Amino acid sequence: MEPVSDELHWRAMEICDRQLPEDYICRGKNIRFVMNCSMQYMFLDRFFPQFVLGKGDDAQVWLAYAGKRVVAGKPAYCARVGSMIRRRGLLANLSIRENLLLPFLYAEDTSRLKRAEREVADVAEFLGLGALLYEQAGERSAYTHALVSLGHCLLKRPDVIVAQEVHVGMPPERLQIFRAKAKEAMQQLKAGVLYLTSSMHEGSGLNFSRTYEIECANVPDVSGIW
Amino acid sequence: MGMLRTHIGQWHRRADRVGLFSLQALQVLQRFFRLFVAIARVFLRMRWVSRPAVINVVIRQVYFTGVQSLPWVIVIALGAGVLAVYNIVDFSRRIQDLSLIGSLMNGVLVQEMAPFLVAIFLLARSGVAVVTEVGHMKSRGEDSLLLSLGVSPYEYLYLPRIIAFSLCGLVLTFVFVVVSIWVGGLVVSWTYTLNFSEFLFEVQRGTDLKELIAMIVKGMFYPMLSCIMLLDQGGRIENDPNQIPVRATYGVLGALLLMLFLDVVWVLIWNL
Repeated sequence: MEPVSDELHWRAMEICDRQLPEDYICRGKNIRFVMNCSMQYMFLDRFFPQFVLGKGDDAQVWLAYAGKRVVAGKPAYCARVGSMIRRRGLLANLSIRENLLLPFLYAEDTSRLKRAEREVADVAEFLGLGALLYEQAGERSAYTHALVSLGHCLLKRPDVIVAQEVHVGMPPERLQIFRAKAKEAMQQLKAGVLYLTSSMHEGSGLNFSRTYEIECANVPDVSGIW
Repeated sequence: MGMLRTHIGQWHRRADRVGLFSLQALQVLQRFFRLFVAIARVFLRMRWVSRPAVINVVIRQVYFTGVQSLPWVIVIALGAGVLAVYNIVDFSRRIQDLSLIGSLMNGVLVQEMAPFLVAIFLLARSGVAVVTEVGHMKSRGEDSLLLSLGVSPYEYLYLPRIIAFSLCGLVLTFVFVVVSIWVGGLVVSWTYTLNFSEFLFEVQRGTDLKELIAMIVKGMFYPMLSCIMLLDQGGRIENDPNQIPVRATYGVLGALLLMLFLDVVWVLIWNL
């Protein structure tokens, strides 16, 4: 029997004087928001807040699984929602292996940590990072950031992934490799994707069940904490 | 009439500057307090103990702040500490009251000099590193990566550094005091008629529990509060890496002023 999929819900929210519609996403369903970068970062703030915002019914973003409502920012939420954000894949002072395992080393779940430790070498090999596994990350290209983000998702196996256009800024030959790997990974994960892009012609190769195009001319040019 | 207006205008500008300065100082205090509360909450929840990622950072920070600083603190103790002991004994001999050795040693070396010198050393060595490291992480957006992975920056970034500063501050202060007194005692016994056991007896006679408590509190809290000040400055760097040296300077100066202010408050409260 197919397990019940997690559902990521969000209420209608106002970002830069624009109303973003209420919706939800679950396994096998892709939704796209087309809006400028600053709005994307403000939107991301709601999905990965610094502190847990709201409780139960007041929450703006929450994950529904097994009849429970888990508010954005809670450990159970973070354990079940994947993320792929542009140039946000690596901590420079950790090795690639430590980077891939970081969420598991932080969460207090020994069984998931053990599973991730068993799988990390295979995932790194699949991503082409096997040789770099024990190297300190340091400053890396957008390509490596994107690969490690993908690695996090492969290890975490979330039902839902919040993704930005991580491929922006990659050279064409790397872009091709990344697309192939991402496609294979997505087929394997079968996760629902909430995709944030600034162009309708983003070329992710995903099929979207809904696309929301939000236009706003007077957005401050800030990325907030992102 | 014109002169009066200019004069009043000058006073208004001065009042504006004082007001602005006061508001900025209050903002700094508010941010400091919020950071302190957030980190204290994370510490008291004690979940960090069961997180290997956090413990790993704690160990790295303790190694960097404490273990690598140890030789330097010993060198400073051999210089400044021993000199202080030597001068205290010399002064006591001159006024022919050796019973002063213990109380002066505790009042000057144990209670004031050791915690302050160690805290200044930690500020100069590890403090700048803290602001620079946190600032670089902020400018590279690594704090937002942590959030997206479900890792609390307070628990993963800030708490380990504060634990390292507090713990190492206390241990290094203790090391400073021990090295200063023992080596100082040996130097005194070589150069004066006062032998080492007499010296230790005088030190022990002047030792007061209150002063030891003062050393422990200062040795731990001065570095801890300095570290919070430094983290606050590091956390204010957004996407601009050029801000890092500026914030490092503000952080170190702010922490120094904070320690001086706390020392004055401590003396006032202690003597009430």
